[in-house]
Amino acid sequence: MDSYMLSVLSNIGMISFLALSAYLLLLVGKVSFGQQAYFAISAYVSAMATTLWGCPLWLALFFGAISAGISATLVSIPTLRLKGFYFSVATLAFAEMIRLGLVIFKYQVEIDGELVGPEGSIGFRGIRYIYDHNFSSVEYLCLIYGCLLVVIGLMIFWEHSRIGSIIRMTGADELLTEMQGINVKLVKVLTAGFAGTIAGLGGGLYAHYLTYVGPEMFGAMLGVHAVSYGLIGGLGTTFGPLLGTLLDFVFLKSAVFSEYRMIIFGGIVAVLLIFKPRGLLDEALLYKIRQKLRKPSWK
Amino acid sequence: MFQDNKSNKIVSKRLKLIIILCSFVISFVIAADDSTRERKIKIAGFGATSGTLQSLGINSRAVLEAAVEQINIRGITTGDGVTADLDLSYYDSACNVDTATSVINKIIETDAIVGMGPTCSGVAEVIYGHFQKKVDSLDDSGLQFPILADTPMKIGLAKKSEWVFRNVANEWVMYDKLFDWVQTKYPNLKTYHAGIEIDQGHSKATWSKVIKVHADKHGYKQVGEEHWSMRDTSFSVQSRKFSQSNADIIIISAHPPTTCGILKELALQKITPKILIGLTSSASPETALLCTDAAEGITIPTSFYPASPLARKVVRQAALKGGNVDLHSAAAWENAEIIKRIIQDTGIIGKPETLKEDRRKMRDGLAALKSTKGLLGIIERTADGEAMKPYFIVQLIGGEWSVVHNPN
Amino acid sequence: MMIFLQNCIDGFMIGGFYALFALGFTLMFGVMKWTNLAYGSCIMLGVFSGIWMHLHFQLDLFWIFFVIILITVIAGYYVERLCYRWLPKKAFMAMMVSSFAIWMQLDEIVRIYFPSRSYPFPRLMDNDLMMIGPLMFKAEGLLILVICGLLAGTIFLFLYKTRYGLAMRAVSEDPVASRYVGINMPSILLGTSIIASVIGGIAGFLMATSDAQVSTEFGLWVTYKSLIAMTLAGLGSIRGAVLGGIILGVIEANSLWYLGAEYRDLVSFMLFFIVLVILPGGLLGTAKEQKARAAVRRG
Repeated sequence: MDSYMLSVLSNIGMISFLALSAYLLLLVGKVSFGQQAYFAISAYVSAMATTLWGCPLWLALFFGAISAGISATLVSIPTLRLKGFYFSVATLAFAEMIRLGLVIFKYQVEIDGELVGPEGSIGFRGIRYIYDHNFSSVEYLCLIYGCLLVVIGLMIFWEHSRIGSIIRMTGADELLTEMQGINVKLVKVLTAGFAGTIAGLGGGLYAHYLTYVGPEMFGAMLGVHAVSYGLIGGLGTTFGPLLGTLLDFVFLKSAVFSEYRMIIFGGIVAVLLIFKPRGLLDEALLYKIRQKLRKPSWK
Repeated sequence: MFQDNKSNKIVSKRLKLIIILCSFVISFVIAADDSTRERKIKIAGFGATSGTLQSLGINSRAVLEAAVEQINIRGITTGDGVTADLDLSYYDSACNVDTATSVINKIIETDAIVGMGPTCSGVAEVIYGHFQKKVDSLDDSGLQFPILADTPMKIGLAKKSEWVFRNVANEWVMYDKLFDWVQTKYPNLKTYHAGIEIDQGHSKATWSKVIKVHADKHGYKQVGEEHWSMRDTSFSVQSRKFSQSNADIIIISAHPPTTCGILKELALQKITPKILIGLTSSASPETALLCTDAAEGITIPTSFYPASPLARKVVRQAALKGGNVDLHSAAAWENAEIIKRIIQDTGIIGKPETLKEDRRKMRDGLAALKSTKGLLGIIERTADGEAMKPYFIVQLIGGEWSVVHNPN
Repeated sequence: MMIFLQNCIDGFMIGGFYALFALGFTLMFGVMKWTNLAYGSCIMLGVFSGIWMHLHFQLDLFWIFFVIILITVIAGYYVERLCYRWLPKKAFMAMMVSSFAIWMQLDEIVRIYFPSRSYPFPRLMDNDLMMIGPLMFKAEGLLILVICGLLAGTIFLFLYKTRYGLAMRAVSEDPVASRYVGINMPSILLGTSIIASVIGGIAGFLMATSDAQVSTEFGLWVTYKSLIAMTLAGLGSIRGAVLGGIILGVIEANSLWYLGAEYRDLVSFMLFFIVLVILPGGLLGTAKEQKARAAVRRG
């Protein structure tokens, strides 16, 4: 496989984490414009873990994902009781706070005579773990997709279990769900925490792939794209956000459209949302598919 | 009859001579105009031709296209004696790290023997980090492809990899020399007050690692430091601090939009330092257009000025291709000439079979360069892949950039 | 103390702009219950159309003003149709994300025609500095504050003293009942959108003449400031929008002086976050208002 396809696939894989993260929150009925905050937190934490403290990659990714998950849980406690617009804007505010914090954050350690570490808006360079440890592009791609498949597997498993039903119920009507005896607040907080962890895992992989991270990479655009992938691809299944991510990369990041990409992407999203407000693979479509697949036991 | 025969012979001889001469001329014209040579050496350019910073990529591309067109008039002699054309493909990296990573990988898959870009410093940070740090290191799986960049100015980019080379102005040297000049021209200055665009990598890094260091080294005392963001439009608070400090020197490390914003505010509050110093990237037509009056007298070191006939020719030719020439894109012309020279000196062949060797020859050729001929003088090359370009100190006078110090 | 006062004055000057932008935003949010994230981009499109006219035809400032208002209204109409009217009534998430998609689209359209980062804009009047005692005032700044006050006052009168305004208020309180009473909903919604666009266009024009330059990041900037300004003094009220803008300006100016630019933005977003989460009635809301807003916010 040539290195161009490898890099495109790697990008798709990493951004998929962010898309899945935003998707989970969409399922509980919340539009989060701020998942990039957890992406960023984990990117920095895991990069510091390998570059400054010499951790192995798996441990660094773990630290990153955990720190993202904890932050997400903490943030969700005050914000999840906010309705629609207020929640979305609060998540955007938090993400901007993190980004602005990174513009200020400076922590450098001397390694081999050179100062290494995040340096505010100048960025954090030298995250060369995968090159120093002779990871090939194919091996890293396998790592990305390995992690992604584990996450997808988990989500599909939950999708078909009681947990999935609870999450979707919460998204559809919180009051009714409470009446069923379910602790809606707990459901939402746990979902947000898990969503943060997923975003975090992607963030750690991202930082090591790029070898450099800077606050300018984690702006609102990233978060909004993540949400729109879920809304385009469909909220009916875990494959929805993945479809959305794929569509963006395949059709729009190709050279043909590059100058008009935003115009076309923006137009498509707006038009699609008129006809399919819950995306291509929305619940209605999934229901029809499941009906067709179910063989009637009486004939 | 005898007369006729003789004159006929003379006529036919003359005719033959004319025909022979004509065919010589025609064959020269055909050979010179042969833009479709069989052998094509592929080179790739990449930069932001879309997005907020698209002017950088558009200018770079225009200058590269003009340069390649010029070079292809005569062609390049390859290692196996064939006269070849340069075949330039330019890719859009959109100042976006994901797009740029895909683009650089795409370029490496093609037959391009060298890549020229990107234009955004942030993107360069990411891309160059993917390259093999040291050549021939067996346990470094980084990319192996030579890069010669013309625009990204952030400090320390070329030393990220031995495959990466830059032909950008050396801000470290330029600001050192600028303060030398300031000391001789304005001898009694003591204090400086700085204003910095803090959320942009280049303006922040150049301030803290270059300008401030040199200002302190030359014995000036800092009396304040104001900050603002790239998107700010109101500078009254910062200006009042400038007004309070009454510093001799005001240093603005920011790009044209906010530079002009703060300067307009300074003009409004009638703050006039003895000398106003700016960031290299702001010595551009954009500043001259945006704040003609407010920026009067701002002094900036730069590496491009249409001071030589060649420089002026480049400006004309780039304009035909739809681009402007400034200190960033001027280097693109020089880079095309460097590529041509290395191809001829190291015997690069340019066939798909010889791709790996050609790329290695290009890298080694770039590393071995001690000096190159630039648009405005000789450019010395340094050990870590950077350039020491001839510099000028320019001032905005009456809406035009004028050279106030030409050490070349 | 003088410094603090001077900072406040500077804050008032920029706050006037924030107030105007927030005013338009609030109208759409309050009456149409619609979060139009493409508001800033519509204004930017309008302002840059004015610049285009200026560059190509050397028009008088009056005509440039007219073009700006016209294009902003047209862009606003386009957004209103695509992201609001044609979407199903309950699809709030879709409306918000759709408007963000169009935000990206309009931003890109501007960038294609205007590749440079910023462009000069003709001045309305020579910016003079007036000294009242030790305090510095800008002539243009005062003019803008006056215009802002006049516009806000006009809107207020319009809403409370005209039949159309009454209809608008009715729609904002209860859309269903309004329909029953025979109010022409489409007309009211269209009217609100147009009024908001006009206000935005005026604000954009004033800002451009005051700075004498406009950058292609203008749209994003307007949207952020409007969101924060609107929230700080209690969402959904005219008084809130104007006050919120002024408060934001004053807070920014003071945090800029005492803390520096990096912290200034951080403080704005932190306040934004805190107000959203803890003080839904805004910084100035009474205890009763806080409770009422909290109910709305927590859904």
